[in-house]
Amino acid sequence: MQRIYLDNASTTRVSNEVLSEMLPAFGDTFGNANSLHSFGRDAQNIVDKARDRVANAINAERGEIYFTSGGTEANNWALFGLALANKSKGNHIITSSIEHHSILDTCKKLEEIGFEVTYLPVDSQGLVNIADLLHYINQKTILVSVMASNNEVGTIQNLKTIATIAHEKNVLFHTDAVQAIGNFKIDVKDIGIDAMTISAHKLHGPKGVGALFLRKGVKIDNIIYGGEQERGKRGGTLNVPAIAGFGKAMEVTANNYIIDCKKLKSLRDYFVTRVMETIPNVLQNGHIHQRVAGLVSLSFLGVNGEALTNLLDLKGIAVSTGSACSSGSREPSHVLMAMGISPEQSQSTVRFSFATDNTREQIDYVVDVLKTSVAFLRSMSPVKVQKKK
Amino acid sequence: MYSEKILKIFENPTHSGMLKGANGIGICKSEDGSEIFKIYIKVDNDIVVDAKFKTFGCVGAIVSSEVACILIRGQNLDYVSNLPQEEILNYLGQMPQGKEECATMAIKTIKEAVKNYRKKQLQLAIKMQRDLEKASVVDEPNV
Repeated sequence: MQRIYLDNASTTRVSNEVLSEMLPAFGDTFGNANSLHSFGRDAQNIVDKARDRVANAINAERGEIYFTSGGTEANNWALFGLALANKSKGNHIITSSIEHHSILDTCKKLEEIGFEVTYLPVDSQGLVNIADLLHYINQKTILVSVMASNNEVGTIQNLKTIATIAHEKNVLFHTDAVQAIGNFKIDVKDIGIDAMTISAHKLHGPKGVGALFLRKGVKIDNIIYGGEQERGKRGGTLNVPAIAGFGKAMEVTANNYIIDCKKLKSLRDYFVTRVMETIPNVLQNGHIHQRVAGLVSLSFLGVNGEALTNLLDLKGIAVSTGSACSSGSREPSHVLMAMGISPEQSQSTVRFSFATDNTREQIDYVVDVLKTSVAFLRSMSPVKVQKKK
Repeated sequence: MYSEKILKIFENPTHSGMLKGANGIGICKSEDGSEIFKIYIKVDNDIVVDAKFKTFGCVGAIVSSEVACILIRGQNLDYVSNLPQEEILNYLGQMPQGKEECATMAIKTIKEAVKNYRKKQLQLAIKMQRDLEKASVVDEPNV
């Protein structure tokens, strides 16, 4: 049975060139990057090179990149660190209702310790309404954090406008770009980003490494203590092999944005067209145009997304469901719910996310399996789906 | 993660679909309406002679419905209406954490089907009684 991976928004395969970059750091260059001897210096050289590559990919300076254990840590750090460092100015934070849980859960914690958080609603396509931002931003606001693109539906936010509004009010702007960074070019200077979270494993880099971009001059409190690493801002021995791979992954991504995005869009559009031609009663979620190239969220009406995902898995196809569901502890996707999608449609949703090594032949196979799987599940479903092509 | 046994049942259900001649139907919806269980039963002489299901839900919901139908076929209504959810869980082996509630929903749906059958039987009995009474009134002048 062939295995087809269409869950690249969850994680991606480490590319050969990234792996080649990492291997020496497991071998001869095994030193601690903070050691003073030659072994340490060799490791530090690898880290410096990676830092330059990450910085170049987003038009930042080397000194503005701080390596972390991944996107979750960087998001936690950005919110806690920026909030605590700026608490003398105010205690109000604005974010969106469709953020990743590493933002939302951190906001909940900040609320427990006295910060006020506004969760901006989104429209039916997943876009933050700029008028809402203008309405809620106030004298006490110290931080606006809105994700660059959504991990479930792919909608890209109007970052430059949000950043401009924040800066007009002298408020910092952070964006979680974990899902976006492999899909489109982000120029932190051009957009006006003060802090940005990125992660390696979404762009064919290794897991367990990410970074926080922090514009020079922006004050942030530490959240991890215990060493002077990362210019005294983040304690902990650097994960040199992972950082080497991250740097390479960012370089490759930056060099290939245009070609890769075209290919991803072509694959995604081919898939969507074939699904719509082949299977009735399928709806797309998210913004039709303003979305990342390699992702589509589809609702197969009358079919439970988790059941469909399991059925596809039995045929060797890996995708992901929008909502975790169980009769006892159902968790409809907070993203789809915020977009005003019904719980029933939310439970019918599956996310397909592509990589450039996917092929049209694979997509043809997936559509064939989808067709029979959806028909099978609909034959068992008591939900009457309105007949439409 | 679902066990191989559960996935096999999920891929090859033998009791899915509508049941012709069903005389009891149970429907249960989850609180937010995102999962729907429907079980049809055909009862003859207080014995469930056939049962089928239609379920909109996760793998756990579908296999719980399937196993519920397997377990109640050939059983009398007293047994069926007191079937504990452990019977379904024991049959399935190990359900992933949080999915045990699917068996609870399936049991609830069975009970609804039995209730629906009994209600229909009662209505039928009342109707027959009234028909008999009407017939006896009509017959009286000839007595």
